[in-house]
Amino acid sequence: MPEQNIAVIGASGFVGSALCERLFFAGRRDFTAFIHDAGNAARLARLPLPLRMLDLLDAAQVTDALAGFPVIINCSRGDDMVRALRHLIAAAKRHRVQKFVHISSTAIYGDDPAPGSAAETYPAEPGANEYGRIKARQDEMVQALERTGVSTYILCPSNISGPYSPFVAALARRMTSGPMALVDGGRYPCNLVHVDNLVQAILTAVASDRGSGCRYFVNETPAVTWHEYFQDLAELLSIDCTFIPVDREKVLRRLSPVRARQGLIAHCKIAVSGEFRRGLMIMPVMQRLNDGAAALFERLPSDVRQSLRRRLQVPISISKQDDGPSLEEHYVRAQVRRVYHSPEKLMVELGFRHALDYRRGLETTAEWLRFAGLGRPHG
Amino acid sequence: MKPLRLAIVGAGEITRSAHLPAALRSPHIDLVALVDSDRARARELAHAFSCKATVTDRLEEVLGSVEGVVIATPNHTHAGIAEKVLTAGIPVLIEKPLTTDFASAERICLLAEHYQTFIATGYKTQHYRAVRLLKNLLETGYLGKVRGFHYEFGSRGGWSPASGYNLDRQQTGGGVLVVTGTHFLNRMLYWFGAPQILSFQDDSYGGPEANCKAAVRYQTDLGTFQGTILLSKTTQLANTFFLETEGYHCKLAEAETEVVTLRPHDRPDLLLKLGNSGENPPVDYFEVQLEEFARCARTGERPLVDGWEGARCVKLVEDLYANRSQLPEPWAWYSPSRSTVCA
Repeated sequence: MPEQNIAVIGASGFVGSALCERLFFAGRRDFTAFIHDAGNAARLARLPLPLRMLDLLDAAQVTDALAGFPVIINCSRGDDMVRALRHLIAAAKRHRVQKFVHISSTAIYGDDPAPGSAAETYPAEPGANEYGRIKARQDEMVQALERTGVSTYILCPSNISGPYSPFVAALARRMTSGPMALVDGGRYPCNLVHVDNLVQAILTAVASDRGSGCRYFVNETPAVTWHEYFQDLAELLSIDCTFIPVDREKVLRRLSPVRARQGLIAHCKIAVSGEFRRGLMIMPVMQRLNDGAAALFERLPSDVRQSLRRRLQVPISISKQDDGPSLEEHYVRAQVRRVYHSPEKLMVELGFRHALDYRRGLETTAEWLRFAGLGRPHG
Repeated sequence: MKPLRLAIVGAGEITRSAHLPAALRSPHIDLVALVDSDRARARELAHAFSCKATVTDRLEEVLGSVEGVVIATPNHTHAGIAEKVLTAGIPVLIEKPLTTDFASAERICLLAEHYQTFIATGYKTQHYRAVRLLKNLLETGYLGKVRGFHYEFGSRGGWSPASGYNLDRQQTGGGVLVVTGTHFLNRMLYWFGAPQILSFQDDSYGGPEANCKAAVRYQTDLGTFQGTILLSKTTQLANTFFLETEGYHCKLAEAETEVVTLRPHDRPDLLLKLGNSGENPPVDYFEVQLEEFARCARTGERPLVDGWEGARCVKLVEDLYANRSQLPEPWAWYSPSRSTVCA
């Protein structure tokens, strides 16, 4: 029985599964795959690997489970990621873990990253991006762990491509279903990193004895634009992909959060709306109050009732239909990001080398997409 | 008709999400017992549904007071539990797959005959109106001779049983072929009979496979044709049965339980939808299956999917696994299953 050195947390997820598969086929048995439940673990379960269930929201369970592991790789996602990480960090401190590798995201720089975010040292600015806020908070927690003497590595990919990638599967389906939005001619970097290169970055961090306490971007080199990516993928899948040009500013306007109407009148309008009252009336006491208020209202003179109704009525608003592609789709929003997050620091400081170059990575992605029924055999 | 006094064995996810709600809803069922080796889990489930049934961890305690039993436990336990129930002369509805091996499937079917009772197998999809309509269209020759078919079903993850038994090949009897694929195998047997197996590939390295592909051949009155099956627990697929006949392209989408879609070869501009228009409320086929079970217990009718039908499906699964080869994964450049493309 080999010594169990590495705890892979979130092993049944997209990145965790790719990592465990890679370790397994490399003949390594010095790791343990921790999964949240049995429903998502089919890819891992086919391997003769022991899978251990772990509820990251149960602090005591996490502490017990991680005893004896000098290395923790956190690939977990899901509900309450901050609390889950808090429990992992507490266990790491308790067991004096030597190394903690954490998967973050360039979402920490928001939907429209500032030019300065081309360097990892730039402070997180997630803006309204909720996922980015959570990841930024997690990064702070991992940085605090470094200060307690644990070597930490924060790996920061953007969207992740490759076999089993939900992002690319959705993209390929979208490419087959009609014209695609192409933002500013698709000239910005796509920052799509192949999952096997992310796995390579994890393995590099695990093996490294220097460069801890830092954030590292994980990406392809050289930068690939969205237009290049769409065209290359379409060619490999033999998809006739057509585009509709979209202005970046138009997408950015959609990304700005729509503020709810504030003020006393707006609140009153909500309070007297049928939907709100129907919800409240599940409670008998509210039903009685509502009936009482309705009876009082009916006693008012007709002109007063009509005037009140007019004042409280929400105006009907009908917008023109947009006949262009939806700007809400994930792949459209991703295209507004103009910053290339280079992996140079990872390469120079930790000695990272890509497992697959861009073209080969794309071929593996296309092979899997064809298996999934997307596209036609190539050649 | 008096409601059938029923016990459900197994208080896991399928009971919570399907059998228990169906039993409580049906006027033809009187749920009198909930049995699970984890008594606390059974008690919690009964409490969650405000169910007054007896909760126990000992099946023997309730056999004297029931007229039918549903077995919804991990696959490898089906045969053993069924033996106890059938020996008491009580009919069973066994969740699919009937058992994890053909020998035990055959044994319990013979046991049911010996004790003059019956087994129903929980292949609820055979009850779908669209599935039975297609059988009728094939048998009456409406569609012409069959030329071939393709079936695919896949999702990213999915079923998460409370015990996690789906991660253990010994307990499930297989992977995606058993867990989701047998529903289709059962329908395929129903429509076309037993096939000749041309090939079977899966991606197992010892554990339950996540993906598999099969090719089969038929030489029947319906025609001489081939079919392909693709199943996945990692990848979202079209989840549709495509059938080519002399007259039509036919389609049965998994989500459309009531409708067969046809496109005539000579009128590709037409799309015909046969069956229920979809205006009726959705049918709970677990309830349909359970009520059929109750009716058969009362009248002695043969269930739509009896024990032998279930056993036939177990045999086909065994035969497919016996023809197994490794599924190529050309994208997995680091694994032995990669193809020359990425080697």
